[in-house]
Amino acid sequence: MATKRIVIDPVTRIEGHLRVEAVVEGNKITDAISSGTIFRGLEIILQNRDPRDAWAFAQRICGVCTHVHALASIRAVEDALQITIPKNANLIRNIMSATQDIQDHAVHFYHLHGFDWIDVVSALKADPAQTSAIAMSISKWPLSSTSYFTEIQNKIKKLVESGQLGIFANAYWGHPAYKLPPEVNLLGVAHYLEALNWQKEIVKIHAVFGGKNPHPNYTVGGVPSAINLHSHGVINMERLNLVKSKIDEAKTFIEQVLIPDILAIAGFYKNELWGGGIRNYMSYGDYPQTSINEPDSFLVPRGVVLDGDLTRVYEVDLKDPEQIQEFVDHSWFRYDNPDAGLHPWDGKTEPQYDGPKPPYQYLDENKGYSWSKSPRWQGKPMEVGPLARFVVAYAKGDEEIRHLVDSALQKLDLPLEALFSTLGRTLARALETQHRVNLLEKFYKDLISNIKAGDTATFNNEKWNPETWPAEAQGVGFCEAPRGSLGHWVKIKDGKIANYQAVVPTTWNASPRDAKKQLGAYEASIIDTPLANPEQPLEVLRTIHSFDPCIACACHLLDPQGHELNVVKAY
Amino acid sequence: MSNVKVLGVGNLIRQDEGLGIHLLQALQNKLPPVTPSGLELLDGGTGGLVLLDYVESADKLLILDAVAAGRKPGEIVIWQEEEIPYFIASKMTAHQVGLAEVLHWAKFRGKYPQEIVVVGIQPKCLDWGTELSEEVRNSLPAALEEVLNILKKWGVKL
Repeated sequence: MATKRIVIDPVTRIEGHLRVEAVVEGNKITDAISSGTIFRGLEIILQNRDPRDAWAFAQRICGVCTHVHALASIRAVEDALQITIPKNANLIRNIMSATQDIQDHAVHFYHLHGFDWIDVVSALKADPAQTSAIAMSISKWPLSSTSYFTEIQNKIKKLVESGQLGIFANAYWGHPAYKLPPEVNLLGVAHYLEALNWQKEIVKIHAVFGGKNPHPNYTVGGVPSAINLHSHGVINMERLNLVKSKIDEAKTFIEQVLIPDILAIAGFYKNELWGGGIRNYMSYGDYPQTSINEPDSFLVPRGVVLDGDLTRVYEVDLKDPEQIQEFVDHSWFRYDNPDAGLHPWDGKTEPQYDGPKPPYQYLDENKGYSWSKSPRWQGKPMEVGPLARFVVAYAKGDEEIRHLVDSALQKLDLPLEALFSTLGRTLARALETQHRVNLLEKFYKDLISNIKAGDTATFNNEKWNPETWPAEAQGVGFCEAPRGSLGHWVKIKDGKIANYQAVVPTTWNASPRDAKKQLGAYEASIIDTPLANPEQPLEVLRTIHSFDPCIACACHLLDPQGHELNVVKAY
Repeated sequence: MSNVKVLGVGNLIRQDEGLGIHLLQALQNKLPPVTPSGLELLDGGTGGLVLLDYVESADKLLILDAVAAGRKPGEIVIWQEEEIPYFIASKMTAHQVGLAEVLHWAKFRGKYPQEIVVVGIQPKCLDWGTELSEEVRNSLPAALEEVLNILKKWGVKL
């Protein structure tokens, strides 16, 4: 059968620059490559700096999860220097992480991924009275009247009639792969707008504990938040009450809007269960109840599940040089021994571009084709992220996760196997917000009772002075970021950073193939996807977006001339 | 007096990409220790949607940023109103939900500030690093003068 190669570059509604090339036979994808087309050189900039400053640089890797890179960085330095943190600091960090997860997941679902499932233009055909009836049947959320949905519909109408779709431009409206009736599409658009309002409230929690948002403040040895319930200008009862009110709002939004929406939408797509990909899942684990050095206390468990086999969970050791390694066979980097993998402590970031000269038509998968390296666990490619965390927790018998998964699948009348799909990935991310808001409530309660018991410590200064440090030390810091397992590895020599390597979630997921020709998670997940219209590869975007890509990036400039948009081109 | 907000954006570890933040810091150093009433400053960094609230709550908004205006490196550019691109446009833009999209959102939601001015500088180098290029560094004092003039015009007592 004749094959053709389609190119999506850049993939839009993600963080950073990603290119996907897919080989199509008839209406099915038979091969795919994923290429990170921007170079991330953070490691180079950190050499020889004070390790206590590294977080402030690391958090600028990305503009979306400004929390997680800072957290992984301070944890790496604390691990290297064997610094323990006070109980309040651990709780506040957990609150920051859960807040990040919730905000990021909701923004991803409504503002980055939603329009892969929701057809905005179709919403114009909806009967607002029916939308209202549907809304009331799935939730007690108060914004559900006919007049409310009519108003939303008029807003969209005005935008479409103006011919300036703006944020709604460049999509495949009317594509046959959209399955929702107009009334549900209208509901989706209404909640898209509401989510915009709500997401700016939840991040106020970051501003309370981190002093500001975006890019809150952190410190090695604890958190930079002084606590005094009865004082001004510090974390006091008024500030803590604000946090509590934001947690309550988040819980209501998640339970009355986000979860009912995802279940309603998934119901219309439940027969489309492709996109599972490699089915190897990894979680470093996070949310320690005691200390990050005690994985048994993690409320998001650690482990690896291979080939979708839930009967066995493998241990993960981030310090074992044989377990996590990065390969560069198909990347634009240079190693002394190009075929060997390097553990991040001994990792190298030496760019060596040998790709085609831009502008080019196709990349060559037999050579280097990405700025992303190929990380492997025990030589195997892994998927990381909400689905991976859910699969590992489910396999480990985590009761809360099992309940969340089982009850959602029961409502959808789907088997457990259905999780291993594009839809399953999106479902897991939504359900994870419920898990995290429950954690938020718990950590908040623990924090209040600890403070009321008289413990206001948030910082351990015992090893703040570099004179207390060993001449040489190495550490690893990790967390479960919204997009998956994030690790920072640091080597410290004479008080300065001697080597620094970050292996970010998207490096795992967007990884190019390796010397053994094992595909990365994106690549494998696209294969076998049927396309309703190969000229408009909506189904590919849906699967790629289901991973919530973040091609760790970070520059933005205003451009006065180019009203040319970042178009999704399919050749 | 109306509520005036200054928003510096950009990435401090991408050399000139961070010039908006450098300019914001220069402004802060010029201000008295207690920020004049009615004036607020924010280091927006590489933030996207999280900046929406700040933008929407301003009567008058002054944005400091690196701008791909096709000028000579270091040249200062001032945009007002309809000159401000309100949707993401640049291929150099890595953030899909960037500041331009935030402005678009504010407009769509009917919460656009009464007045927005962008003071930008054409960058030279967007490579990894924390130092500004010489051209941009040399332009900072003049850009700061522009910023102060705009704030004075808006009634901020400096």
